[in-house]
Amino acid sequence: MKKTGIWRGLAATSCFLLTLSVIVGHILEANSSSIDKSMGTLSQVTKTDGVTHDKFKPSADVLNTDGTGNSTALIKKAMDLNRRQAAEGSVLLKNSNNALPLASGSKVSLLGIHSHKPVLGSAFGVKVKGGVINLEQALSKNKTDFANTIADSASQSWGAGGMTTTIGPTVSNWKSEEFDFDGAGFEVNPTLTQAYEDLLTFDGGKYHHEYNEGAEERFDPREPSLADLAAVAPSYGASFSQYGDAGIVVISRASGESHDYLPGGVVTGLGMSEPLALSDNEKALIQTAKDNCSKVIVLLNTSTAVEISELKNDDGVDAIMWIGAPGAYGMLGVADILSGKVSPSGGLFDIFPAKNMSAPAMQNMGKFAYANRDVVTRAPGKMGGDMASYVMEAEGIYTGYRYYETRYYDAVYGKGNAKDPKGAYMDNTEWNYSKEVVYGFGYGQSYTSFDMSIEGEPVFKNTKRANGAVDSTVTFNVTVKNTGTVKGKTPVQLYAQAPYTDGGVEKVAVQLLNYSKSSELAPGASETVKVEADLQYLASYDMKANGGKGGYIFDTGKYYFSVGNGAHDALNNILAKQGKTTADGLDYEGNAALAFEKNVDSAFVGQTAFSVSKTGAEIINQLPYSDWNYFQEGDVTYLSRHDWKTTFPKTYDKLTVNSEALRNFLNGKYYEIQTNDNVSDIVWNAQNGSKFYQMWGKDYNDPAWQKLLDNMTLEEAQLLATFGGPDIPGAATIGTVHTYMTENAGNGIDVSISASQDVDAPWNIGAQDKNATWHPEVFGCAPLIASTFNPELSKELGQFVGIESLFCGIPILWGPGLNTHRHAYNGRNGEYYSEDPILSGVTAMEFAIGALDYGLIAAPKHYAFNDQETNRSGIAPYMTEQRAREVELRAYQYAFEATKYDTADFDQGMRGLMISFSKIGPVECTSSKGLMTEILAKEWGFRGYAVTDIYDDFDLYGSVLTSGATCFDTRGMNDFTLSNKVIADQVDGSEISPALFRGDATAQKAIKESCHKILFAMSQSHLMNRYNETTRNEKIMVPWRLAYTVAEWVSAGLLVVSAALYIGVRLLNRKEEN
Amino acid sequence: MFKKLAVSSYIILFAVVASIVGIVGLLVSHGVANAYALKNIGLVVTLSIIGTLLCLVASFVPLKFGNHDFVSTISIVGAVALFMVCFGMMVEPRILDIGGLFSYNSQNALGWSMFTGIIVGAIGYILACLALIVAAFMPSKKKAQ
Repeated sequence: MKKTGIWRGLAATSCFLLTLSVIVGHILEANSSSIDKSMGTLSQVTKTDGVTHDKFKPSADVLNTDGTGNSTALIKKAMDLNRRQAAEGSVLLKNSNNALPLASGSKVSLLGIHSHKPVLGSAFGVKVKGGVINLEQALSKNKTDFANTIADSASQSWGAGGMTTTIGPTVSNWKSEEFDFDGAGFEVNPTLTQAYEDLLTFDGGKYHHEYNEGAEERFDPREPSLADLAAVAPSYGASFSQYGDAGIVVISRASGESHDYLPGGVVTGLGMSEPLALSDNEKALIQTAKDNCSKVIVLLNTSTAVEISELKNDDGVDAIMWIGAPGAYGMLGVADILSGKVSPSGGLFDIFPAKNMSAPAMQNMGKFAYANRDVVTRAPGKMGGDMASYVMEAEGIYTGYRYYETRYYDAVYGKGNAKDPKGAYMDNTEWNYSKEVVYGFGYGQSYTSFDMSIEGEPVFKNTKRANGAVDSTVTFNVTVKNTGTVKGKTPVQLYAQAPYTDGGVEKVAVQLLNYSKSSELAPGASETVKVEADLQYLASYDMKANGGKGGYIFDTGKYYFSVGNGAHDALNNILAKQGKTTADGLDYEGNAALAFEKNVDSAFVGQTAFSVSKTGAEIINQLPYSDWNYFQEGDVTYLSRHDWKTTFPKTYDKLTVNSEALRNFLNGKYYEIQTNDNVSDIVWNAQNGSKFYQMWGKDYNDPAWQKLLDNMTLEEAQLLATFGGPDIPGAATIGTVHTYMTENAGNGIDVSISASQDVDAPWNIGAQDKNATWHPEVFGCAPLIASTFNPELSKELGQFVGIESLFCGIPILWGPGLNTHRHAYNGRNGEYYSEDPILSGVTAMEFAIGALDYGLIAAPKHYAFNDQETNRSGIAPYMTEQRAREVELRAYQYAFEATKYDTADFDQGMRGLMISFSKIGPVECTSSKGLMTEILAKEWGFRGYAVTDIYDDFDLYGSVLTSGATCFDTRGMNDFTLSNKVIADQVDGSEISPALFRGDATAQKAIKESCHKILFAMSQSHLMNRYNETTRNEKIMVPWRLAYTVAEWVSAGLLVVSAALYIGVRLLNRKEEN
Repeated sequence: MFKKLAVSSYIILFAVVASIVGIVGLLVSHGVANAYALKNIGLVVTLSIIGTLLCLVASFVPLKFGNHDFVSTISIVGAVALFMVCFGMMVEPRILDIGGLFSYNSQNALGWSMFTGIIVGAIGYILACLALIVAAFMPSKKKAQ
């Protein structure tokens, strides 16, 4: 008898291995895009015969003479740009006795665990990847040490003991040159540097930190105590004697996706009651610096406002500088300022209050749910959000500095109970601006001084367009003179005030209208800086105007314009112009010469001139449901300057849903799919021969587009409108192929430079390149570029990211972030520019237009109202339409209209956006026709790719696709069919299939329009570099593909052999038995 | 009858238990939320049950057909294949959901419930397969006393 067990066992084993390798192979193929991205492999390429890549190409300075890519030049350019971003964006807030700059050769001590491990990027969102330059290197070295300074981040992993946090590098198998740089030339205390290195792993890693970190709901800065510092470095106290020229203390607060800071959300026992206040250990560090160093410099390594009133008022603290999350090489820019190579010229992106909780928005921030939450029956999607959560934005238009400055203004005038202690956090007896605010919006110091003067009369210009819109602008010429002793540049910020009538439409006392920046001026030099502003942004939205239809109003009366070092300075100048002095309550005297009064009468432009948009669309109420009171009148009181005391927001928790209309909206009842419409006039599958590659350069309204769209089948169109990236499906009838097309991040493209699928590009950098793993996601946080107040630099950043995208082969970027900062606790503030919509809008517009120069569609996110990460996928933010339009939407409007770049023949604009998880009121933004079509498309003229956020609102398929959204974000999905289970469960009970819209004319037209917008955006991008009639995809035998293929064949072979041997031996045995 | 079973049959009965655990985990991960519902849950459960029945066949038929008989061998190999298919159908559609939990979607409590179900299910199916493999190498019928 021969043994059969061995063959039987091997058959079972090989069956197991075969099925396992098939499963693994299937998973790998389904997620090939993600795997390529993380492993740096290239499993599929787009091939085209005879393509010349002549439509977009990188700038010559990053190419070799033969047109091939020069990775060394590219990285050097990134380093230089990031350095300038940080040098111009860092904001000097305090500099007593000219403590800064420090002298060459200074011996300094770096204090704080983040002095060794600064926050350079976000935990998620705008992560910094690859080799970095940290603070001590920038201050004391002259060559990068990328190999040993790789940006890291924490991630959760599943271990034997359950969920554990592991810290790992952002780029594995790093391969890059090292680069020379000119550092600050300081000597850095090595005892402290080593001590902080040891503390990162001290006591089980309780002080672990990463270069990329995020906010936490229950926050602990994990700043080591002095006792623990002494435990790892007993001699640290003595080391100050040699390195006591300056103590540089780094205070950090991180920013990242999916988590917020929460009111009171701190670990107990830290000596802090709020997460953005200083902990006892942080204060002890500053005291140590004061005790041991000649100068004390505090660097604020944050993306949000931190509470530092005690530092401002502490004579022992010589200098304070906000540096943001500066990115991979931004510490070079910080070092430039500390050493005096560059004079700081940034202005604060947000106001810094003494207590962040004093902002009216903070009264309603966090986790709120309806008392009768059971009325919300709609199920959460894949993000698992609480569908019964909401937030009441009862602060109305008074966010950020708009609140503090307006209340200050009314306090000076003694109006509206502005001095009442209601809302005061620093004084029990009265509200006092000087106590409540530490540093104002737009404020920043320099190493030099500037005199500003308004040259002549500003020029007002009104032009009526043929479509009825009015272009009304004001241009100020401001002469800037450097009156100090070192060279420097300065922002020129133009603010304005519209006339307010007590009890009338809410208006802020001061708002940014536009800004520019001087060139670098030598001592004694001067320059006239022109700042032109569109007066439509000074109009107020009145929901009752126009006979109740709503619209913008531009009242008659006295308007004031002013320039100043931030909003508060500008407001004081306006007050001075109005005759107010410190005797009236100003905190310091304003300069009336820097303000201008304009008396506007009815003949100027007319009260409702701005109720016609640039496109000629009538602007009326489109978001009535944004207001809770629309459903249940009188439930909510919005903040009004008519009476600061009685309208200061209360916390609206556990509101009860009584309105049936509100309940229906909350449950997603927005659109009903039709089955019997007459669709005979909608052409599909025309077979007219029109192809996508022929659309290069075609205007949006070119008839060729209609011909192309008619060529598609309804199913192809539906697929294109359903699957929105990163993989976008092809359509055979128009000659497009399935392409990996979109990626994340506004601080660079989140793909390594050697991972482009556009391998035929002459500049393509292959895996053999000496910098093959260099990752372009290197720039600083969004507030850092906003704080430069330099539109040209924003555009240059956009252009560079556009160049990166040519190397990475990614034509659409999900970024930059464009939500306005509602408050300091939004964990994702580092991805958004500012609390001010003009600063945000200008910065985003310049970035996107710059990116377009190189064929990159920069698609800002998250349109709109992504005001907190907490419950982000289920939350319903309620607000007035005035707030929606004048704060959050104004940033998008500025960027999308891009009027600055319009010409007589061409309507410039941004070509993409990502829609928010959030709702507007009870209606999903993805499904709000008012938001997506009436405002975005009709009022602002948006023509482009408008994708939902990841996996959002699949259950509202019909509503989303008819609202004006162009497609869903289906990141990582591998089933590109309409039977995909993920989009199966619809709130209206419909079945997703190619037949779904056959009887719905509205939906068919909407889908066709979506395809028009998507394809138009693609046609404006560098995707066109590689498109003609031969374009196709080819798979590459990468190692992981080879591995599972070999495993499949080997295990299959083993299965056949072992099964055959089992059968043979078994038959032989039976024969022997017989 | 159980006294007549070989050790390998008991191991296969353990596989039966493990496969039931797998089915429970599968159903938990499926039922957490609509967003995580599996496209072919009916098919996956049916295949799992068939696999479990094949295990029972593989446990008891050697009593009738003898050691390492064709029926039990096909049942073992078939059950391994079916359990692995079920494992794949359970895990593959959730890979990106799980990836999200470890990154941008870590606050999603429902997602973590789904993940827990998958872990339980995966352990069940894999243990069932390993038990079957071990049993396959062993005699399937007790030697005559």
